[in-house]
Amino acid sequence: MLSRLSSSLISVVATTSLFVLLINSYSVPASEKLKISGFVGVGTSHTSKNNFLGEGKSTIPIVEVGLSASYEINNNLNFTGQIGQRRFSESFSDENPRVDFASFNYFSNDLQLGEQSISLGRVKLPVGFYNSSRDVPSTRPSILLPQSVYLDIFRNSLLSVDGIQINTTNDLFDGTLFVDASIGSPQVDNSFNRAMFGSGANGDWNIDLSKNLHVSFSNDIFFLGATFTSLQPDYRSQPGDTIVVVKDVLEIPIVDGMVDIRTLVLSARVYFGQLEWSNEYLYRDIVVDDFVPGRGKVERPQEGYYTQVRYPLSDDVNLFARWERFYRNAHDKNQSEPRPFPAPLWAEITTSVSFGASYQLNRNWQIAAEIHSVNGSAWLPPFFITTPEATESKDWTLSALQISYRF
Amino acid sequence: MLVGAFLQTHFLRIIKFVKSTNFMRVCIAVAALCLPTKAAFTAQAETFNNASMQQQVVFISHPQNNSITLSDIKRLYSLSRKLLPNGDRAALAVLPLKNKESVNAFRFLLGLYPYQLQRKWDRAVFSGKGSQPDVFADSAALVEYVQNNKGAIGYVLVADNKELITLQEAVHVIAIVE
Repeated sequence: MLSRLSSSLISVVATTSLFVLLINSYSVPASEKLKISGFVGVGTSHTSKNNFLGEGKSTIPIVEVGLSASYEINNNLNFTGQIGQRRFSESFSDENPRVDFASFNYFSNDLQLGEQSISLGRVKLPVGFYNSSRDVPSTRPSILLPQSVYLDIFRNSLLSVDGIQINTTNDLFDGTLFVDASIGSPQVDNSFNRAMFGSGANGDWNIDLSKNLHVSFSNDIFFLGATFTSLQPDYRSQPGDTIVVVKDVLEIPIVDGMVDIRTLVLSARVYFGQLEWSNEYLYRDIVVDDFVPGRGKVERPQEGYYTQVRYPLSDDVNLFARWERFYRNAHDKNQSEPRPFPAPLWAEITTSVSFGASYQLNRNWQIAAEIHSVNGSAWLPPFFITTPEATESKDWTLSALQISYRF
Repeated sequence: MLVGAFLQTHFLRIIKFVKSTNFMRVCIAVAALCLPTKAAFTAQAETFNNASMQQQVVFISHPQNNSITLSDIKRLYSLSRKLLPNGDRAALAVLPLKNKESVNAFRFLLGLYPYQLQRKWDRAVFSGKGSQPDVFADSAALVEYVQNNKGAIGYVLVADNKELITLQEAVHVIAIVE
């Protein structure tokens, strides 16, 4: 209740503040105190088999939009906010335009130990390399982030939290040590239902507090980082909620329940001149409590990792290649345990190889294309079960094309 | 739909090709593809540097901010810091990123191409952790801005000592990059 109230309050304050800032930007000459930025990405994606993109597997549009503003209130205090929306398939879209972040941020270097900041409001979570700006086309190496670590099923719960964020940036051994701690309530909408259960559930998710700790060290040669995130989404079911195992044939009623999710992401990047070699590892400990009457607590941790090479052929052209693997149940890599729902063995492990290129037409415009050769369907939604739509074929391909504009 | 089908058809052929050869052959093919490109690019960069040998990039700040170091500038332009050592808010000024001044300045300072730098800035801006630097159309406008704004830092290209002396009279020169 408290988190819903704070969420509504933050949404109203953020929307009003952004509106006032935007009006202000049109009525007076833009000053260095007010900065407005934005992005639009429009694209299309196609899967040969399986339902990563939804029940209709043909061409699915990708639309990502964001409008961002920052205002310097004084030397040490500013306000930053962003409204955005992502439309991408049935499971990974925002239902409505969303306040992505909206916070008052205080900075200081009075301690003479680098720079410290404290933010209050809705803040983004730095998880791994890409989570904090995962919906912005120009900041990603690829149109689709590596699902082994940035599983879109959990995107909604990891975008931002309403709470407090403290971080410090310090100089250490000719590099930079960055520590960020955040605590707050994540905001999820009905698309989280779809990603977790499929199309048969309409209850409400409530996440009281999410705790996030990020530590990283970087210099000109390498980057090392670790992120720990903990959240306990709590589900209040609606009468008639079901998990659709086979549409119109087998539907399992679901009741209230809770998921305890603790995620560790380790990140390492090395620069060889212009070549960027990135590696990330994820271990997500998941304990599911209730949901299906008589099922009790079930522990099904996930594990994923990828290695990726990115190389700029020139200032305008970037290439990437990636190999990744994901285990839906890391306790059973050999697949010897009985599974809660019938599914082929390859529904538990996914290995994929991806290639892509992006071309920067100018400072504002970018066009990107990529293709993924996928073996297995472990990262396909919904989270709780493996549906026939997700297990049509062991080997399948996913391709995407996107044009984006940023200012 | 057609584009997707086209890409998939050719992609499967590539995958079959890769799988049909051993690892060393693939590595040799990649190296053969990359090295000439890299060599051509390096040659282009060297030609560019030789052409601009007479010119130097000069990092500048407001006259009152005379304790800033090159390391400070590096952290500020990578948007990992917002404050100057004296506690003032940094006001970053840049020329258009494709300009010779910008290419030289950021290749030296951060080892990044302009668009790589732009992506780094975008990550900070679109996650609420930074603001885009102000872009100035030409060096004269940038110098005037730095001269008149406490906390401002920027960079320009100077062709000779006369220009450098004129610049030093107007702003604080932090570093001169060969």
